Amino acid sequence: MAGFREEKTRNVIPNWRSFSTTAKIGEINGTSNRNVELFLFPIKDYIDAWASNKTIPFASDLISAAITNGQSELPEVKKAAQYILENQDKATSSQINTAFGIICQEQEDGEQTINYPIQKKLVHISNEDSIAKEKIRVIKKNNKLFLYNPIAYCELSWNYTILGNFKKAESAMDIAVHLAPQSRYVSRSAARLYLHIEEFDKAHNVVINNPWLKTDPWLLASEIAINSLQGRNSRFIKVGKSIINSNNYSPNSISELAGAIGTVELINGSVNNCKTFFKKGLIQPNDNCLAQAKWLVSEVPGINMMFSNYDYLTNKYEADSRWAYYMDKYDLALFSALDWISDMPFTKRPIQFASEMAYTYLHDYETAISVLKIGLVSNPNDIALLNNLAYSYSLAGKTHDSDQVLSKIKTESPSLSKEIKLCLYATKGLNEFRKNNVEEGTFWYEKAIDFAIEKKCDKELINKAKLNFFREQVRSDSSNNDQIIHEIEEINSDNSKELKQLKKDVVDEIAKRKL
Amino acid sequence: MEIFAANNLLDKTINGWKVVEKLPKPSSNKGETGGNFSIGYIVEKNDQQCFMKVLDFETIFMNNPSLSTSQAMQIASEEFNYEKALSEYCRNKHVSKVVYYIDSGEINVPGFIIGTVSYIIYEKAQGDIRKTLDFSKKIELSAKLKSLSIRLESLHDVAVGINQLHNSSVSHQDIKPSNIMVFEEESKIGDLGRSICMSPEVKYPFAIEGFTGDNNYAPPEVFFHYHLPDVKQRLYQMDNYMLGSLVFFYITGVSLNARLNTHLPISITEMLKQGMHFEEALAYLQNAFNEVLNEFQQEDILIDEIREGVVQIVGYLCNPDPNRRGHPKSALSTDVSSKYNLERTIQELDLMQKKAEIAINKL
Repeated sequence: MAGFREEKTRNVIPNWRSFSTTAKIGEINGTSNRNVELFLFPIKDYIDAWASNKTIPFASDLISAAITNGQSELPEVKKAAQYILENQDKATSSQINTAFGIICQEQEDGEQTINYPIQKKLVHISNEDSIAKEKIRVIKKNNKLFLYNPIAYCELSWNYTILGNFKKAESAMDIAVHLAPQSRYVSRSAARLYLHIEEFDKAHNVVINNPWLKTDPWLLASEIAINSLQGRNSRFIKVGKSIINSNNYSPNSISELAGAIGTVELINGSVNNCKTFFKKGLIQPNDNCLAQAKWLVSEVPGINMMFSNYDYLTNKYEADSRWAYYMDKYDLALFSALDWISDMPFTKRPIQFASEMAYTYLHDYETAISVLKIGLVSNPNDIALLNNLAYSYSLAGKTHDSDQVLSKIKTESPSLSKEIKLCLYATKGLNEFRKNNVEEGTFWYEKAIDFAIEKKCDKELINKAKLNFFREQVRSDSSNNDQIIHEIEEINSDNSKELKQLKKDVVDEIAKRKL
Repeated sequence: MEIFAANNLLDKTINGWKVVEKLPKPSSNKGETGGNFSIGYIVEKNDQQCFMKVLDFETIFMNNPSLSTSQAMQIASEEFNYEKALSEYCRNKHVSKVVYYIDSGEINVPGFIIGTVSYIIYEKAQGDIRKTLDFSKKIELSAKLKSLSIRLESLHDVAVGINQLHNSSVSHQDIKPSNIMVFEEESKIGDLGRSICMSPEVKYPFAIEGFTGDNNYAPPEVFFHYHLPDVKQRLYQMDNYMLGSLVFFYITGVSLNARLNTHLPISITEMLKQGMHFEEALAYLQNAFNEVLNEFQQEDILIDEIREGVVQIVGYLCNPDPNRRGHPKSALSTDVSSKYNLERTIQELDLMQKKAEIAINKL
């Protein structure tokens, strides 16, 4: 049956990215809204020494002093750097690199994939696992030089997570936490990993044991979001509110916290308070707060917010995807969702989102298959992704591949949720229909629908199963189309784009048959 | 009538020492970048040339607008007298790898409004290490090995000097290339002006608080005002960081702090402006340091025989976390003093210098 997407709730749980990306988007910065005035350490002695000794060691000593003391812009410093670059045969590679850094302070960014077409993006993302393997090799090699680097262990964990090796990912992250229990980046990364592997208490503990929790809005945001995820209220909400209202923190640093508290307010039924907090969070949001706001607007009826132009914000792929979806621009939604996957390759949400755009709205089953295969690298045993892959294979007419995927799943396992079981039964039905086994297909669809009604599954899921069933009946000419049209009209799709799309698919199929 | 005698001593004789040359500031001979309130002279006695450091009253008056003249004079005099006492103390303790203290005193030179001359005389070096280091790539292997051997020998001398100071309860606080003085057959540490003596024999005139040396070579914790609780451990680990940084400079020609800043996503200065605390910054410093070490091990001058050893020394002496700084074999020791003890480092530098010598002989 139609893919199963866990989109009913969203919390501002911390995003986990590579260290360099996190640094680039400013999430490791200080939180104060005022800059501390610094005493400028004099480097005149170095300038004078260089003036009377025009040699490489004196030049490099001067540029070293200038970099350390934030005075690289001085003309004498530039001249010394230039001198080194003009005499590279007399200089070490470190001297040349340092001098080059002074002359060309703008570092070139890495490869920009944002403007790639969809197929190229897919190829790029498909390479993530081989890139991850290479990165693991390099990190391990470099780590031998210095064993105390917590960020290296985070990066190791990140790359193991991309490869779906959660045991190694967890053990590397445990070391990072041990080495840097006070680091915001480490605590938030660890929390995100532990949530991903469903170690909820561990995720909570790593944040709550960071001694800076009560003064760091990023950590507070994570703590509150983790509690929300588990249906609990954080005891730090009051602290968080006072931080937001204190005006001592930069708008960017409190954005995620405001988003987390705004979400709690909404859960507690206060739409106005929710909007008030999001208004503060959206002054200079991070991508997570913006995505949360756009998710709320697109998924929760009655919520509206004012959005400014956030083009300056990099990595807002989730927000862009969700907004494009909200605006019914599914091709754009898929386009941004692929960047979202690239940004956070191990997470399931962008995979589910992108594949749904592809198979439900764009009927681009091959792209859906590619996306789901990428998702299964990091989450090889995820039943929902496997089901969606089988579903996509069936829709693409690759019934044999679909069977192979379905054969990996023990459909009757008691550990499976009723929703997953419903989807699996229906997907089996779809695949049988596509193999022209109408009776068998009908059997599985009816089983799915009866099971869902008996287990009191979500009404929307039941309707999705029905609509898929109708479409297959129409395609196989095994039913009375007038009866189906009547039944479709009975299904309320006001609050579900997916149901609307499925209804349209059935109607289009009927129209096609009439021609 | 001239105002300050201290600035006009050329051709005069001070306690039997004939002043033959006034050095530009910073002294090109001593190579000093510290000692802001002093003037350098070359003096002679019995055919022996020495370096004389004289308290510079003029600069004291001009550079301290926030202090009254008497306050500025008092502070500068206390510092200078402290350096005199400390130099003498080190000589008496047989600290051989610190520039040798010969004489000191205070005399009044007639014919000036302020005729007081407070001076310290040290042995004269050929210059500081920056004048000796050659980072050229286009040199033959034998010259490269010789150069490496000389550098390791000099570093060994410096490590011995710091260890001697530590054994005499002195933290130098200002180990940097311009304070490494080169003599015919050895290197010595110069400029005790910023040192902190914890022995009751020489009273340090100020409260022992922060770092007193040059920021360019200061350990990262200094910028964040992070203090280890044990005073000796705090101060000696600062020296050890600067020793490691010096090893790094001898090989790369740049300061470790400069490379560290280059590898940080935001510079230390920027972190400080944003009010970041040391514990938060530490993870980023460790990461940058790891990257710097990776870059460092690829330096051309390092031969395979000693590459790993040199990188390890910088790795453990310059760990951005002062709690983890020190030889790995002492890491688990409960005795604080073993964490900053340099004996093992001295042996390692000695061994590496021998290896470089063997490599030369093999050619």
